[in-house]
Amino acid sequence: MADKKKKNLPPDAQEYQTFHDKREVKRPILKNCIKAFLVGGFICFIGQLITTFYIYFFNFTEQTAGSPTVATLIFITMLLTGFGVYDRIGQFAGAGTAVPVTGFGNAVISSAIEYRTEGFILGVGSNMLKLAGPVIVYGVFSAFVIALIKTILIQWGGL
Amino acid sequence: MPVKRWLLIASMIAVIAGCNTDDSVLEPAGSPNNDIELMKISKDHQLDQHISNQAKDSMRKYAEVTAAKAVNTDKKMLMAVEVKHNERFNLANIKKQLKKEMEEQFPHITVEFSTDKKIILELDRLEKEIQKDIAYSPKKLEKELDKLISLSKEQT
Repeated sequence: MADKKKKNLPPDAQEYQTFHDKREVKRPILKNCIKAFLVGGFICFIGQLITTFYIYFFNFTEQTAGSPTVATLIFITMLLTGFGVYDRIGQFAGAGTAVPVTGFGNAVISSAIEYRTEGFILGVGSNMLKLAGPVIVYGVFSAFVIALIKTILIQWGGL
Repeated sequence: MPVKRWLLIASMIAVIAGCNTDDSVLEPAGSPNNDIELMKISKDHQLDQHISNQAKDSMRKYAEVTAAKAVNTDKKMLMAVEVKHNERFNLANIKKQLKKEMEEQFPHITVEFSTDKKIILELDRLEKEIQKDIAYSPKKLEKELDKLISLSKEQT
């Protein structure tokens, strides 16, 4: 497909394209993956510590400790985002900070901070979920599809 | 693209292999597992805990179990076990198997079974309290046990 596009370009542009391709700095995919893995894993490690803390010191079981853990993690993210630390971590680790629930929290909180100047209703209220909205929509939708598949498999396949 | 097709086939095989539900995941080991962490309530105690003691003992045949706690009243028993960490992938099946086994072994009482860390901690505390206090009242035990059973069933 890239070649097809290239043929339609004038010769100068084609030449430039090859020149550009040669000099372009390659994305260090493996390095990024390792960074994301380590930082994401560290966030999950903190989450596990919080879960264990709730199990040992409060009346939560492994089943029920999940919700307060998520709340605590999002609270920590809120502080880090507000102080501008989370952006730095995000820049370093990429998807490692975006995939855990802290990334979701960051997406909501940072847009809330950004649109604060436009007022609470039309600013914060309407823009807060701009980035997180799709996550909710497709999360709910894919959960529905998976539940449908599971129900069908259980009804017919007897799994 | 043959590579993509192979990837698809491999992932399908992985999914199908993952869906394989084998009921008996734990096999009895040849020699009894003596590393298991369990405490027996003495027979002279006012509260009859021999069912729990038996239940805990019967966990010795599995090498994968690392701790077993149980407390019972006349009508019900709450039992919790901890398994080796890499066996936790099979936790649901292990729970099912052991629960069935305990129900078969003690058909005259209701058996509640858990693999939750919190239940293990609480049962450990309860066992120690019972052991320490010779005059632990059956009413109090009933109340504590009911509380723990409802805790073990909490979902949210």
